[in-house]
Formats: sequence, structure tokens, C-alpha cells
Amino acid sequence: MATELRAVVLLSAGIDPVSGRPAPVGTEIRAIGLARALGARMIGLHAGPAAPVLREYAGYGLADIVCLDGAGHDPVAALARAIVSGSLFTDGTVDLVLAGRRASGGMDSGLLPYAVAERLGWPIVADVAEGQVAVPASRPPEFDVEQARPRGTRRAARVAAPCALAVHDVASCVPDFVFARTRMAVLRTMPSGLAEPSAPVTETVEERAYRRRPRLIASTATQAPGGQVLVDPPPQDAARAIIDHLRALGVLPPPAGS
Amino acid sequence: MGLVLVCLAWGLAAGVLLAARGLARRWRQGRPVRVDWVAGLAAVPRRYLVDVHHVVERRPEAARMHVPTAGGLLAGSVALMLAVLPALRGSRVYWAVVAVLFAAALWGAILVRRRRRPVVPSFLSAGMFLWLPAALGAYAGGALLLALGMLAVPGGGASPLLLAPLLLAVGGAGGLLVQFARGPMRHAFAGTVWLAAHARPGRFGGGRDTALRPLDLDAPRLGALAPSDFAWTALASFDACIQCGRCEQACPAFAAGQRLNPKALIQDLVAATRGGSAAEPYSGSPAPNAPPVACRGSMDAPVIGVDAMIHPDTLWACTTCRACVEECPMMIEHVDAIVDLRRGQALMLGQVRPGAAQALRRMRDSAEPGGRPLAARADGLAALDVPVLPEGGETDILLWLGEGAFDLRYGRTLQALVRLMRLAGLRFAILGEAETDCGDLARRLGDEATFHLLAGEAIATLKARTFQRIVTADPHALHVLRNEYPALGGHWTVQHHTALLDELVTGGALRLAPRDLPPVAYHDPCYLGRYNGEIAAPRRLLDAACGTRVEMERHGMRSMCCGGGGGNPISDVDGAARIPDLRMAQADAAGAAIVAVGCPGCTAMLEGVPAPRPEVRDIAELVLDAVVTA
Ligand code: SF4
Ligand code: SF4
Repeated sequence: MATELRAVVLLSAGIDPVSGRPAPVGTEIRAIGLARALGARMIGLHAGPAAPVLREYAGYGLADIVCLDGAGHDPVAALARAIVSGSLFTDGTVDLVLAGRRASGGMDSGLLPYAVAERLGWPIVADVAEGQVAVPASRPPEFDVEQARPRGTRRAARVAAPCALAVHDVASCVPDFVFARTRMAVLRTMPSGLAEPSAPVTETVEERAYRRRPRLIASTATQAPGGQVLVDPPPQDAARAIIDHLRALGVLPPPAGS
Repeated sequence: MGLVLVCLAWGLAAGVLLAARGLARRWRQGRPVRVDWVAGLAAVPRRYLVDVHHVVERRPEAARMHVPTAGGLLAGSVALMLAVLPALRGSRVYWAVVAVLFAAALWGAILVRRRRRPVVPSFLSAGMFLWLPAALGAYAGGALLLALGMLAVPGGGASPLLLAPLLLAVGGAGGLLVQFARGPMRHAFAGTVWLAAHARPGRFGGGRDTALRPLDLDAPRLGALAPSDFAWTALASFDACIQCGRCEQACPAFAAGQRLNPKALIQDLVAATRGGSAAEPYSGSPAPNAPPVACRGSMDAPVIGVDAMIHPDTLWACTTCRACVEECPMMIEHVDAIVDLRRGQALMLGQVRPGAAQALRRMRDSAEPGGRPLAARADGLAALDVPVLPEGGETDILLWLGEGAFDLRYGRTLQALVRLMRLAGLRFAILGEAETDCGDLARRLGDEATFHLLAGEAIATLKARTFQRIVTADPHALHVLRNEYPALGGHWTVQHHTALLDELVTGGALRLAPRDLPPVAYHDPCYLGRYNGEIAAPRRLLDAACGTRVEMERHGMRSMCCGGGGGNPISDVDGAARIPDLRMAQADAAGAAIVAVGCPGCTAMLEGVPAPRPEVRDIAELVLDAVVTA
């Protein structure tokens, strides 16, 4: 292929949700499958020290894995830096970042793919269930993707490289696991290039008490027609519109005093 | 004339040697294995006369055919070779002996012919077999006439009358050579080599050896993708197949039309070593309903695939029940061959069926093929409050629950077992959340890496606790723990629950009063019967607990599989029928109203058969019902 895609798959040292044992994350396995389906060459990127569980991703077809040393205090910056550094692929820049769509319960964060895309300034498509390179081929390449929606519906979207795709659990592109490939896995460690934080990071974490989430009425959960399209609204207006919408659905209680 | 006969016999021997060298050359392309030739060759007569004939005798007509054919042919030809000694050539006694031997061989040739007349039975092959009796008959008949001629005309005049029998014998010998080099007669040589270099010498002399061999996971090639990946002895064993079709008749997957015929599989492997469609075409029953394949192959080309020799579905239909192995007169190890091929597909290519891939992934990630929380395994026993053996703890009996415990139906069996153990005053415990999957399923599916992972964890868990023995109601776990963990460093006394209960009843710790039940038939689990030879204790228990016990036609060591083993159920193999349906029909035919089982797999498979059908009860349940509490 003249214009071979270069993809980075974000990998976490996952935890199996049932057993709590180290295990590769299902959506990230599917991200590898999607990259293969797109015909991309890929490198796995992990913010953190090399963990044995990362080798398992090699079994699913991702043999070259880069671990970013010293990325712990700011993985978003470290990953974004590595992606744009040009040092991952010898022959060009990264076209595509693939990730799982949410955290699996390990040291990973579900926000990470979105934060990385924001830092890169790239568009991100969430909940990708399927994807292919758009025809006719263009430069930069474009992708036709399908987003998984509730109750089995799909929504089509087109996005141009460079971009990020967060893969949904329903994506059927689970690659075969080949034990022989895990033996050939190469785990490289690269310095993250981040300066050590001068002062220990003190994150202000707010803990909130558990609150029952109101159930959406099923019929409204699908792609209902109607609604509003706001283009570049001021944040205040956008927030207002969302709150009104949720109130109309009955998800939020009516305003106090009404 | 005598000298001409001598030349014929020696010429035939030389031809056989040449052909044998050709075979040996082909086998040498297989993986090298160390063979104890001295012990092996010394054991051949015993292995042949005792073990092989033990199998052959199950079909008396086959034994009656084989003894005169093989005996007459071999002894007659060797006797003829001895005629180089002039003293013998002049002896009438000698020629009389030669005549008797070849008369036996001729009788054998007639019996060989009768096997395929008037029609070739479906389990036998045609092809070169069709003119084998002619070649045998010509050689034996010609030699017989010549020997008679020598008897009649002492000194052996060159009577032109003997020319016709001579030509007959020469023609027959030529035919036999072709049969030896390219046809079924090579089983004589290949079979002898395989008997001497057998991969499981422990099977001979009434012994048993059923554990799969560990695989070196660091080897560059894992399992078998091409014929040359098999041990050379396995290649010899494939050539030893005489296409008798006994394996085919015993195979549950074949009976259910599930794209597998062990005989065709072995012959396809032979054909692969000989260049696929370039080889002598196979003329027996094919794998039923298998889609066509390209029939392309060579020593180093892939065997499995639609563009190769064997359709992938064939591989996943096998339940690893060993019925074929039990029936094979050539002592071929079909299950080893199938597992070698599965290892290649699973470990080198990741090519397993989707259901199996999911189960394997869950085993790697959650240590449980169903992906269920390990703590839920003992839920079925919650009401009985069985103690959990902590790390460092000690007890008498460790009760290994197995995968079946997640199933509520099988939970009832385990409850019955626990109640009986309590009644007998035994001290026992379970592992609780610490019990991980034993790895049986992963190993049968060919995923040796996952098996090693799971086995390593289970062995470490067991080693951290102290107990006298392990008892389990799952014959698959029993087999792995008892027979396959020792190679990985885990040595324990492992007992099936029926053996334990039998011990308790015999020893008087449990008293049973036989109940007045409709006829009960016992279905032997493959992994308890054929894999471990335990067929008596369950029957003793049933005799003590139930009124009438009947036997299905296939029982004991020759029992038929329920269809649950070897990952068959999760491999989504298409078939014309379901194996458990066939088995239940056999129980019906035996007049059984209750089928007694001793395995979670059998329970699930046989209970899945739609009604009306006999009731399925575990032996533990039947024993509990019959127990007399003083
Ligand atoms: S494999 Fe054994 S049982 Fe099957 S046909 Fe060949 S010789 Fe007979
Ligand atoms: S092990 Fe059982 S299922 Fe497999 S080929 Fe042999 S008889 Fe058939």
C-alpha cells in the first residue's frame, strides 16, 4: 500500500473485571483488531513501566510495544508527546490513535483517550464498533466508522486522519490469540521526556456520596428525532440546553421552586 | 527348480528390504525421538502376540483370517529362503512343510477375499485391497504347487509343467512388492517398527498410559502443522494403519456425522506425506459431511485447511474419548495425533473455533472457562457449610469441585456426595475461591500454554495445603490431577468419588439397602473408564444401591462417549445428529429407565437430550437414596 497507515494503540496494564487478575483489556484487544482491519502498521504505547501482562497483547497481533518510563505523574502529556515526537515510526508521523473506550479497573483511566486527543488537538470518535478506510482514498486518509448506540443501533461517521478512535466492547474485530507471537513480543522502554514534577503532585480529588442514577425511559434512549443542533455555542448556552433536555426527559428533577 | 524358488524367495526379501528402506527414509523426515531399540525390538513378539492379538481377537473372523495369511506367508517365505541349504532342498519332509505353510497362506488369501465379497463393507477400504487377495493367492498358490512338484519329483527336475506355477508365484510376488511399497501390505513393516518404537510403551502388558505429553513451549515450532512436525515414530504409526475401520465404527463423532472419521484422518495424514492427491487415493468412508478440500500436501506443507488435506472441522469434532485407540489393532494413537495437530493450530496460528477461543481467553484472564467468579463455584454447597481449606491448612480429604460445580444440576450431585461423606464421618474441605480451573479443557483444545499457566497455579495452590488425598466427582479433573500433573511436579493421590464411596460401602462406613428401582444402566465416562481403567467400583455401588442393573451394548472400556469431552461442545461442530442423543437411544435399547452417571460432562450432555428419555442420576445421588442411617 502506497499510503500505509501508522497507528498507535494505547495499552493499559489491565485487570480482569471478574477475577481481578492482570489481563489484557477487551476493548484494547478490539482496538488492535480494528487497526488490523484498517491495514495499519501499529505500535503499542503504554504509559508506565513494562508489565508482564503487556506481552499478551502481542498474542493478539501487536508485537511492538513501547513503554514510557517516568510517565506516571502525567500520562496524558507523556503519551501525546510520544505520539507527536516522530520517534515511534521511523518513516513518518502517526495517523491514528486507537484506544479502548473506558477504563477496565486497573491503573487506567477512562478519560485518558479523550484527554490525549484533546491534548493532540485531534478529533476523537467514541464507541467505534467498525471502521474502514474511506474510498476513494484521499490524503490525509479518511475513515468511515460506525458508532455503537444503545439497543444495537449504529451511527455512521466519517473522520479524517490524524484522529483518535475509542473502540466499543461490541466491536466484533477480536483478533485471534496466537501464543507463538507472545514469545516474539518486543517491549521497548523509552524515556517519557517529562520533567520530574518539582513538587509532589497534589491532586484535589473530590469524593461524592453514591447517588442513584435515574433510569432513562427506554424509548427515548435511541436516536430520537428532534433536539437541537448548536454550532459553537457559548458554554453557558450549551450547558443550559443540556440541562433543559435532561429535564424534558425526566432524568433531572425539575428546577427547585417550580 | 528348487534353486529358482530360492531365488524367488530371496528376491522377494530383497525387494521388501528396498521398499522398507524407502519407508524409513520418509519417516526420517519426521521429528527425531530417542528410541530404546534393544528393549523395543525384544518386546515386539510379546507386544504382537499378546497385546495386538488381544485387540484382533475381538473380531474372531479377522483373527481367523490374519493368522494363516500372515503366518503362512511369512513362515513359508522364510522356509523357502532356507532352501539355499542343499541338504534341505533334497528333503521331502522339508517340501512337505513348505507346502503346508503355503496352503495355509492360500487359505488366508481366500479369507481375505471373502471380507470384501460380495460387497465391500462401509468400514473397509477398496482400492488396492481389491487385488490384494489375487496377489496373495498367486504367490501362495504358485509356491504351493511348486512345493508339491518338488515333493512329487524329488531332486527337482526342470519339468515344463512347473513353469505355469512358477510364473504365478513370480507374478504374485511382484504384486505383493507393489502392495508393500505403495499399498496396505506396508502395515507389516510399519507395524513392527511402531510396535518396537511405540510412543506409549506403558500400554503393553495390560498397562495404561493415557496422559498427554507436556510440550516444550520454547521450541521454535509447537505442535504439528505439517507431517514433518510429527515424531518420526508417529509417521511410522500412520503407515501401520491397515484401514480395518474399527476406529471408524467406534468413533462417536463419526456416528453423529460430525465431519470426523479417525480412519480417514490417519489415511489423509499418510497421503499428506506422499504428496496429497499424488498418493494412492483413499477408498474408505470419508469424514461424514466434511466439505471438500484441495487434497494438496507434502512432508513440509500444512496439513489442515481447505486448501490442504484435512478440513479444520475434522480436528475440532474429536471428543478425545480414545474409543478409536482402544479398538485399533495397530495400537495407533489417534488422540495424540489430533492433539498434536490442535496444538499447531492453537499455538502457532490461533486457529481455534470461536467458542473455544472465548473459553480459552476466559481461562487465561479469569482462570475459569465460563468467566464466572471463582467464589461462585461453591455456591451450590452453600447450605452445607463445607469448610474451606486455607493456605497452610490441613485436612484428610480435599474435595476438588471442578467446573461442573457452577452448574446447579451438578450441584445436587455434589450435595449428595458431601452428605455421604458427612454420614461416613470423613474430615474434608474444599478450596473455595482458591480453586482455579485445572486446565483440562485448554489442554484438550491444544492450548498447552494456557494449560501450563492453569496447571502451574493449581499445583502451587495444592502444594500450599496439607491433605491425605484429593477426591473429585469430575473424571476430567481426576485425569489431569492424577496423570498429567506429575510431569509438572504435582504428585497426589487422587480418587474418583465412586472409588471413595465404594471404599466406604465395602468398609462398612456406609450401609446401603438396594431400592426397588426400574432398570439402571451405567454410562462409563471416558476419562474414568478408558483413561483410568475404573469400571468396577461404580458397578459395585449400583448393585448395592439399585435393584436391577442392565448393561448397554457398549460399556466398560468399550463404552461410547457422551459427546462432552475434548472441547467438542464449545467448538460448534456441525453434525447430522447429536452424540448424547445416540447414547441415550442406546440406553433406551438396553431397557434402562435410569442412566447412572459419574461425571459433570456426561450429566449435562445426557440431560440435554429431549424427553422422553431415561432419567439421569449421578451415582452419588443413587447411593444417598439407598443409604441406611442406623
Ligand atoms: S487406525 Fe487402526 S483401527 Fe483405524 S483403520 Fe487404521 S488400523 Fe484400523
Ligand atoms: S478420540 Fe473418540 S471422537 Fe476422537 S477420533 Fe477417536 S473415537 Fe473419534
